[in-house]
This record gives sequence, C-alpha cells and structure tokens, in this order.
Amino acid sequence: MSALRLINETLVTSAVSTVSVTDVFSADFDIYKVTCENFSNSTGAQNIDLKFINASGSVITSSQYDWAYLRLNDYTSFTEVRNTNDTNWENFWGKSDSASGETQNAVAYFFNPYLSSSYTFGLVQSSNALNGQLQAIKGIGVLTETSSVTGFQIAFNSYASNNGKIRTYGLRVDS
Amino acid sequence: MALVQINNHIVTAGNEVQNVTLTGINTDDVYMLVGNNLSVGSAGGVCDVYATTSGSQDTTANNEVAWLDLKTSGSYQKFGNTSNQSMWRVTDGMGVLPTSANFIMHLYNFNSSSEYSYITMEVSSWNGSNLRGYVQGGVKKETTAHDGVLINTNQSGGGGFQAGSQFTLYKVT
Repeated sequence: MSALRLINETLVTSAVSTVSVTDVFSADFDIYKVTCENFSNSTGAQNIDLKFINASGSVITSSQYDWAYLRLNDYTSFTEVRNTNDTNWENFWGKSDSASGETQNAVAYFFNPYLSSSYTFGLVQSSNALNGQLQAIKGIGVLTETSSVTGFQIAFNSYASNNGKIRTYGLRVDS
Repeated sequence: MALVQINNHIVTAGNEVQNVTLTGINTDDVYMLVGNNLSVGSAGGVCDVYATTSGSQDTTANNEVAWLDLKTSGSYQKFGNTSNQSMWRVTDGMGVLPTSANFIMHLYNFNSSSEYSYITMEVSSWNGSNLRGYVQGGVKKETTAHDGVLINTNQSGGGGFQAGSQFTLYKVT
C-alpha cells in the first residue's frame, strides 16, 4: 500500500467564494499533500488565498501568516513577493481566470498542522494561465502560532469559482 | 504514483543525535527524503545531507548546487557552487521548537554506478525571526552507487537533532 493516503476529495461544481476543507489534519499524519486543479471563474483574473481552520472549526484570522514566493512569469521578469504578519497566505494557490482553458493548478505540502508544539509550514508550486499569459509560483509559508490546525479554507478573492477539485493526502510514516 | 517507505528515524527525548543515516536505496527508482519538524538544541543549527556509500558518509568533495533562498526578510539570494562541496544544505538556521525546518528532497540515480546522482529540494523553515527556504537542484559528480543519505547537524551531543525531529526515506514507484 502506498504511504500516500487519500483523505478527502472536494469538488467545486457551482459558484462559491470560499471552500472549506475541514477535519482533514489529525494525529494520524504529520505531513500532507494537497492538490488543487482547474479553478476558474466567470469574470476575470483573481488571487486564490489560503487560511487555516482550527480544531474548533473556526477560520484562523490572526495576523500570523508569513509567506514568500517567487512568481515566474512568461511575459515579463520574475517577481519576488512576500509578507509578514498577514491574515492569510495571499495568492498561495496562484490565480484563476475566466477565459476558456485558463485555469489554476497547484500542489502543496503542509508540515505539522495538527501538532500543537510546532508552527504550521507549507510548500507550494502552482501553474496557471490568465490574460493569455502564464504565471507560476514557487513558494513557502508559515503560520507562526502553535494552535492545532485541522483544515484549511480556500478563498477566491474577487470572483466566485465555478469549478475545481481539491484532494488532500496524508503521508504515512511507520516507525 | 505510490510511495513505499524504506527507512525512518524519529528522534526521541534523551536520544538527541548529530547524525542520522537512512539506507535502503537499492533500485533505480526515484527516492524521496522527507525531513519534518527538525529542531536542534540552540539557534543557528545547520542541517546538511550527504550521500552514503555502503552505509558510510561519502565525503568526496564533488557536489555542486544551485539554489534560490526564499525569505521574508529581504530580496531572495541566488547561489551557485561549483567549488566541490561534499554535501547539500537544508538550512543554516535551525532552532528550538516551535521553530523548525521541513524539507522534501528527491533523489535521482543514487543506485547507479554509471550516472551522476542528482537531487531537487524544497525547504520551508523558520530561523527564529524569519521564514526561509531554499529551492534548489544539485548533483554529485561521481559514478558511484549510493545506498542512502546521512543527515548531519553541526550541533553535537544533547544539542543535536531534538525529540520530534523526523526523517523518512520513500521509494517513488
């Protein structure tokens, strides 16, 4: 059996401004892989952000999100984007758009979200098309609080997303 | 894609270590090394990864690396080294929990005695005041079969890798 275990699959099939994937992080795993595919909307280019959800089911909105990305653009020079003490991992999942074929795709890893003695860390790579151009992200993030995180919320910044698929896997460790 | 666990080491209280060796690479598959929740006894800890040959640290100075240092504290640093180091660096900023370093490293051609060994690595870590993480590629320019990795920190004895630090080697099939 593969050490990579599918925990949850969430489909977006109608217009939503946020998607919450709850109760996926637990003591069963320390490391998680999340894939997001084919987010798109009906209006235009927009950021897709991430916030975490705590064990009480509440979205964590504290200003303890730090993030740093390199944005790889095929139409201009690469750009460095970063922030500290933010209220989310802004643009963590990349961007989506409305034109036919222009969607967002990303893979991320989360480390120790459930572990209350450690911060929650993330790695992400994304690739998306918008305005006829390509943008990709290589990025990292940390939530600098030691709360136990059990899920995450994807926020479509300006326009509701019409479709997409989110898969959450746990990376099994047998000691 | 499936991942098959090959080897693992979880540091426990009272058993802090400076070196962790994970062997078991014996096929031509890609392997994945995961370092999770890594901490040391005091701030400023270095974490390096060496290839092993027959279970022993390969200190031949023929590694090359190119990385981008993502960080929140300022402009990203680009670095390339062709001066033949013997390891690949995860971080030079490990500290005490809740500070930790976390990384995913893919290993290519390690089992081959006719090809160089290659790695890619992504790191997300906190050095006590800033988020940092190398995005890097590397090569070990020798046609030697490598059967695993040795992970080293510069802090010794009880100050080495602390309880909860976890290293796991998977085969990608």
